[in-house]
Amino acid sequence: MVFERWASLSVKSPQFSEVNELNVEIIPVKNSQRNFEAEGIQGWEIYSYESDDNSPNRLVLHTRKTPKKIRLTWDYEQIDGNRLILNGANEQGVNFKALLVPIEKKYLIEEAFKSGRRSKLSL
Amino acid sequence: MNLTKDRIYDLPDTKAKDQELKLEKKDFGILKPWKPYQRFLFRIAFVFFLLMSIPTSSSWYQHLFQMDWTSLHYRDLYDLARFSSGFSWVGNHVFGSNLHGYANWVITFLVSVAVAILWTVGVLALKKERKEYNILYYWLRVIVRYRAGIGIIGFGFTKLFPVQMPYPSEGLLNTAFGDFTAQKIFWLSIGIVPWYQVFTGVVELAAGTLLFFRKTEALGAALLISALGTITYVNFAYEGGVHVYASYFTLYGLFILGYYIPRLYRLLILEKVTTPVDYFPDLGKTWQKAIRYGLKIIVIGVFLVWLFYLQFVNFLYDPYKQPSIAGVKELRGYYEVVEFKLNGETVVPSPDEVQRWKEVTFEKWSSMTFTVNQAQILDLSNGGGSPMRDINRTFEITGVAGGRKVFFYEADTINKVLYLQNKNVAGLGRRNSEPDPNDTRIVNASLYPDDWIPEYSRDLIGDEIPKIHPLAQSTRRKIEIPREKQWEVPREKLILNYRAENKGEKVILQGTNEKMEQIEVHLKRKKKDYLLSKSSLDAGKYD
Repeated sequence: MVFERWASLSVKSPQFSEVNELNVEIIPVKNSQRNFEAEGIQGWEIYSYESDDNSPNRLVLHTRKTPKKIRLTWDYEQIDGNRLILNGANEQGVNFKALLVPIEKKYLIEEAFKSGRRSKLSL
Repeated sequence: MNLTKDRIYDLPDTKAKDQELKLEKKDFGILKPWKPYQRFLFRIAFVFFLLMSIPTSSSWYQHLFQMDWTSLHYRDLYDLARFSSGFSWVGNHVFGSNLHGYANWVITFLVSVAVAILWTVGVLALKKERKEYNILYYWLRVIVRYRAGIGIIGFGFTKLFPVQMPYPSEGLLNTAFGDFTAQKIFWLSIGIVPWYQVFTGVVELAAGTLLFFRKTEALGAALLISALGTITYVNFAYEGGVHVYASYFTLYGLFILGYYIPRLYRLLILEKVTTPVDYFPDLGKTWQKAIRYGLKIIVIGVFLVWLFYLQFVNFLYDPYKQPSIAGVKELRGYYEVVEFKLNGETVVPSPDEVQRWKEVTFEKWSSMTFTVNQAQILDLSNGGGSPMRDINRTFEITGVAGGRKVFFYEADTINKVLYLQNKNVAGLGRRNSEPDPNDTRIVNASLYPDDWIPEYSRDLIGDEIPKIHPLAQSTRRKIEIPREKQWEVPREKLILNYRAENKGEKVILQGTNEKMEQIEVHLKRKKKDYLLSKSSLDAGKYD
């Protein structure tokens, strides 16, 4: 699962096999229509999210990849600093509870630029 | 030597010709004697481009005289077309820096300036100063355009028959975007569209071919500058590491086009009547014609016709960046690890767990890959060169992170045993680096005895050389394979018995891992519908 710097999150799962192959250049005005991150990929679902004004720990999500837009609500709870517990229902209406542990992912493209192609890099 | 101007001045009568000639003398200036600074600059350019066009490594000459012309490998001709040059006898650093690889250019330039000064002083002292160097300039352009033409054709063919940037292996297709180097991402983005790679090959070949002829050299140079100028920038931006050689061609193209710039400027910018005046030696005598056409036919015959054939054979049977020997058929594909046992104990998947294999792939050639949740020492090179042995062809592992390990295997298909060796030998003594004795790969390598493949399997596996199509079994292959074996470095090994059920839908691997521990791995083939569609161009033969 990935949280972007902007209000998108993605979940990796083989069930998201559908592909949004919009192969045209569009210049969307609204944030909700800016869909580059969701196009031409499979194995992930990309959601835009916003907080719910009425309940502080609730995310309201909208699927971005599948043509049929689905609205979901997930509750989160932060425990011991940086771990999260997510509570909600998926697209099929099945309830789930997930424990999220952050991974400090180092990307090779960045590490290799930092150290140079002749360096001895371990990753 | 006589000068022929007739081909330029093909006006109907002599009067008009004379007028035109006068006009030229007045306006264009080519017939005028060169100015002293022009002669000095020319002397620098002459020495510089001569030094940059002559191979300086003894191995190039050795190769030239030792290669077996009766059984060539594409790389034999490629190596003739690609060589290091320039003034390299005082090292390759200027003030302690190699200037991103350009120090050799700077040194060569300084040497050229020094020689040009001596030359100028010499001709002044001897009172033998010439008025111009038109003919020498012509010959210098001949050298420059043939050097550039032959060089770029060597590269062009590896793209025309798309092998320079291979189609991603199953392992690469299942590596995350963030686990590649920039170089890898760029090379793969060309690799997934072989027909585009063909197009880039056509561009390079067109540039090279146009440079072989005086009448088309300007077009060839313009094409060379645009194509190789872009490639230079690509190599800087993506850290491709070939920026110096790419800019070498750009420089050569600029030198040739530079000759045409004054007349183009006059015609297109000043919009004045422009009659180009070219000087070239009159090679009208029979022996001169024989040498001229003979050399031309040899160059075109060798580098356009013969190399075309050799590269085609390479594409069909031995694509040089990917292994060429077929892998075990029933094992090919992408597998999920259903169960993983280490020393008899089941290891369950968890984010912190480091032993369990994930995402196993068997390629159509003799490679097996898997990922583990463990940092690996990475090979950040381009995975190129000219290895003949499959084990040394590393495109599938170079520039790849994500805990992926890639193993070359030899299969005893009668007893169903795979003998695997780690393909990643980064930092293990190649490229003049001292290996780190604490490197776990070296420690692990020593766990297996020298005769780790038993005699009966060794016999069944057989010799590597004849395992590809006879047309591709060049003398180079026969010489280099034993030589590469001598240069072997310590490698991690595995011995795995395999059992494939239902044509490989389920596979059970059982044996010893890199650390000589007992493992048992149950695999289930996963049908992958890649979003990439496979091209009709597919290098290699793996039936």
